[in-house]
Amino acid sequence: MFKKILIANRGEIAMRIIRCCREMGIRSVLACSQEDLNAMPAQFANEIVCIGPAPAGQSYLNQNALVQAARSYGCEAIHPGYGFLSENAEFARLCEEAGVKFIGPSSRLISLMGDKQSARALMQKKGVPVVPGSDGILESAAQARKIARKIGYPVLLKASAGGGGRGMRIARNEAEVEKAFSEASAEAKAAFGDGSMYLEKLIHDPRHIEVQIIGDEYGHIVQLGERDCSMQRRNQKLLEEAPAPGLTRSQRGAIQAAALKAAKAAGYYSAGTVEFVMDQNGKFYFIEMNTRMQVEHCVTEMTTGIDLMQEQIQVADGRALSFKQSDVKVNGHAIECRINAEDPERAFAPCPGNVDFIHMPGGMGVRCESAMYSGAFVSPYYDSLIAKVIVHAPTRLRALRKMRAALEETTVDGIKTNLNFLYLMMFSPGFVTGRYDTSYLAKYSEAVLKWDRDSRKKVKRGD
Amino acid sequence: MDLTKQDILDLMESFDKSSMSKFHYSNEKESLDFERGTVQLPPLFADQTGSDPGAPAAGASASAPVNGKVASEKAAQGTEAENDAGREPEAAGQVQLKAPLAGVFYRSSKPDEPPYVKEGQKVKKGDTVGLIEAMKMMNEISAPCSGTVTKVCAGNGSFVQYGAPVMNIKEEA
Repeated sequence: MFKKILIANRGEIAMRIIRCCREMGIRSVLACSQEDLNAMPAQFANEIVCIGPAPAGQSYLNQNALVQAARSYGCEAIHPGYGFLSENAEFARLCEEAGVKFIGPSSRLISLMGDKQSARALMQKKGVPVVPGSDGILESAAQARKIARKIGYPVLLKASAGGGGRGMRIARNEAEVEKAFSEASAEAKAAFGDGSMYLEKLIHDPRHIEVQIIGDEYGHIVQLGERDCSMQRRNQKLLEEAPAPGLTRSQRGAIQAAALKAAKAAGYYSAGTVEFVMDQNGKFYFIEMNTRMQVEHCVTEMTTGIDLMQEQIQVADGRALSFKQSDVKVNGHAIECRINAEDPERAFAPCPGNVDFIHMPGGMGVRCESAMYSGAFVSPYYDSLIAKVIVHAPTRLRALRKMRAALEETTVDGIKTNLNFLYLMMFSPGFVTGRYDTSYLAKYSEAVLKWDRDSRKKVKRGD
Repeated sequence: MDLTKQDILDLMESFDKSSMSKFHYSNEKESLDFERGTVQLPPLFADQTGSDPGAPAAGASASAPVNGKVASEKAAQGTEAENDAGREPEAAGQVQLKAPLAGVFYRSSKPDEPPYVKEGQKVKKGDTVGLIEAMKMMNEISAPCSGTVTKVCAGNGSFVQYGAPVMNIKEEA
């Protein structure tokens, strides 16, 4: 087993990796920015190496510094966490060439799945349902119009090299195609260096359902059930749950089988997620594969009882998965809420600053993942996620009640957070009934915010 | 009324225990101000002797420190590197060149070449005084001022963290 792992990340995921390393008897070397020297992971890692100043570009994205630090500190492997370099094929290759194990799939697999159009083509070939659209890269806007005429508007012009919602434009009719095509292509060229485009039918108000996958380097791949991540604001997930509510047994079986087929088609190994959109008629389509451990992996850990990160590290060490598909049982229901340092009243603008006081909940089936402590500083240089609260209970209703109690107990003073907003979401009709899709927050956030404001109004005497 | 030393100490204690963020008192002769500090990130060249780098920070306080000193101490613990860089405190007139990037420090351009600078050598601002390499990418590092190199803190071929002490230069015109 690895003796030392370099952790190329920060915040709650760095804590997750450090704790996992401790359990496994692996020494953790935290590569951090100057900004994070006071942060909790720096206190708990066995060693710290400061690899750059606050800006991520010079620190957490500094590939050469990270690999050099791994080598100089005797680390056999690097854990990239999520975000940052976790899906950067160039970084994975740099590690491979330097003889440092990248904890994740190979650089070849990252490239394959990172190229959205070739991933789509592979799925089409293997019979995994994909969103109706173009077969291959579009040669021109004219070709886009021809295909759109056949599959019907509205359509989405998407960049093959894109991601995170960038390099995408909607065309609602034939007249809009030209502009959508050139704008999306230009954006992708500027951001990713590649303006190649493909086309998909725009599914109206889809649900976002994804399936957790993990495989070892012996060809053994397993799926661990689906998660519903439809509660999103501007393509940013707010909360997640497993299993996805309201699916029939056959829908659930079909989506899980499709995910496994997709992962096998790619020859995938390590932890990953296959993403689907589900339309209003319950039909689902592959959209992309995430070749990393995700923020919401904890939800699946709660329902299956499997430590995904430990498995991921073992797989990277060349071991087989410690379980088979037939060992995987999805028990009960889990929900995760992402607590962010942001102000819902000001369009969820990030609110860095000092956390004067923080208290996280506890109890049976309550799990917290955070790097916060009273007196900690939330930096403006990084994303606003400060804590995850995850609950697990035998039924969805009991999980919902547990999350309400957990969020009531959670206290954060000194900065603004979305804690109240999350709490009210646990009472919002759409979430309570399990009937929501990716348009829910766009439609109802304002109502939830008003509810919050109204609840804090002073009651006049005599009312 | 004039404040005695005890008055000031009593006021400080009350302020600390309160939830006030600012306090001001003045009379014709003197004025007194307290302000609650934010957690400052101190510069990396902390000159305190740090404690065991592996030890977790002493119990985090629930209120912000009045003068940021608590944060400095925690950072010193966090900054205490596994690095073999020298921990010479800066004397007056000394400028410390800190590593502008993380990587392996070399004193000469090639293994068999003499070092760019030796202790006692005079340098001009901007002179190349060493190299820092990360994965075959070489970066020249230059003297921040003119003067005499008093101490080379980082070992040849050792990994230096970002901001770690590399050398001390006594500033001279």
